[in-house]
Amino acid sequence: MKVTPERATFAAAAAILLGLAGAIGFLWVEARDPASLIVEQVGEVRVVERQSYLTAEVQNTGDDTAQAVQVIAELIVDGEVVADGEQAIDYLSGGEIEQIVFIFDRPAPEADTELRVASYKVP
Amino acid sequence: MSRSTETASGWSTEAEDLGRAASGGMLFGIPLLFTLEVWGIGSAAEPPVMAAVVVLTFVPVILLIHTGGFRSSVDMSFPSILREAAEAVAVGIVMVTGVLVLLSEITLDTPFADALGKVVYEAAPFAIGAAVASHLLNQSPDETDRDPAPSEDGDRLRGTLADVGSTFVGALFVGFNIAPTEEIPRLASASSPPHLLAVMGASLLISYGIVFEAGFRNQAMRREQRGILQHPVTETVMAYLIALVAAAAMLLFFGNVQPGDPWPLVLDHVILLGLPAAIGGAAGRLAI
Repeated sequence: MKVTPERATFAAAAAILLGLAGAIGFLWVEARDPASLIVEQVGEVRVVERQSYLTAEVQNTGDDTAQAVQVIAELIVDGEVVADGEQAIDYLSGGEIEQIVFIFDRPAPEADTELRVASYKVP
Repeated sequence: MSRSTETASGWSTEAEDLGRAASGGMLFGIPLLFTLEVWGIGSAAEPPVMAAVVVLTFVPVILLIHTGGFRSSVDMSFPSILREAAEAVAVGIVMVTGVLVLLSEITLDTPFADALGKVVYEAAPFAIGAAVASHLLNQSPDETDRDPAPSEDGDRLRGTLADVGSTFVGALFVGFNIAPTEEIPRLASASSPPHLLAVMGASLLISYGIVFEAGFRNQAMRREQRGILQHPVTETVMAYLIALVAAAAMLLFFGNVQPGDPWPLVLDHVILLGLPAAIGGAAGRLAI
């Protein structure tokens, strides 16, 4: 059969649409876990001009998207919370990782830290 | 005409038709492509919703192709309309994927479902734009062409000024919807020098394609016009520079960049807004 330009274009378009349908179908039948969020500290606390910088990584290990993810960090010295901070991430898709940085208004390179995800919204 | 010449002409017509579809999609879909909320809605979409969006996209596309389409040939049989609709949606998917990659909204780290949802939602306006490309913007050269402008200096200057003005207004028309939003700062924060160079290249290519290759109204007239800067390549470069100036003015107007900001920050904001502004500028030049 002769390959005309119109046939070639339609074949390519059909292949793209079939690929899209296949991808959506795969996601549809695949078992999906609800959003599941973990947060971990990355590296040590940095001190820059009398402020402490705490870098954290938030990951959604589930499949569903989490919206308005609220992350809370606390700086602890001698068992007492001396500073805290809060940050929200608009959207975190399944499997997605975001890095965030908290800045505390005191130099405390040896302080303990506590990080947790406080809440998220189901879109 | 020999068979090889006929074949070459067929492929050339096909490329022009596809270029027209892509350009129509760009003109219609670019504002939504810079909308944070659509990215979010796409990211959060469930597979059944994605499937419904794809199916629903076909409804307006089929209706619009029935009255316009993007092809220069006129075949109104139902199978032909269905084929063209499938091609319009496929063009939308390819274009949207390319631009989202260009803007770093889809990267190798983007989860598959997230990327798929964004592409499905953003492809809908692109496909509609492809479907109306011929209906709104394409007329045969015989219907629209006028005699080329006389080549006297005064007319050349007037023609050039008209081009500058229409490019600026077109850039403002599209860019004003995007300049005050937080999309540009967000995209800028994730951009890198190679990405910015790619965005510049894409802006020039798309602008050139819309005005000189897609077969829209006034294309032949633009090719023949005798202005100071109206060789297709020089005109494209000049129009891009005007679009960048318009982008900078809009960003300043809305305070998304301010005097005293570091120049790399200003540069990446201007280049990113320069993409929709260049597309608007191209549409503006076709409108005069």
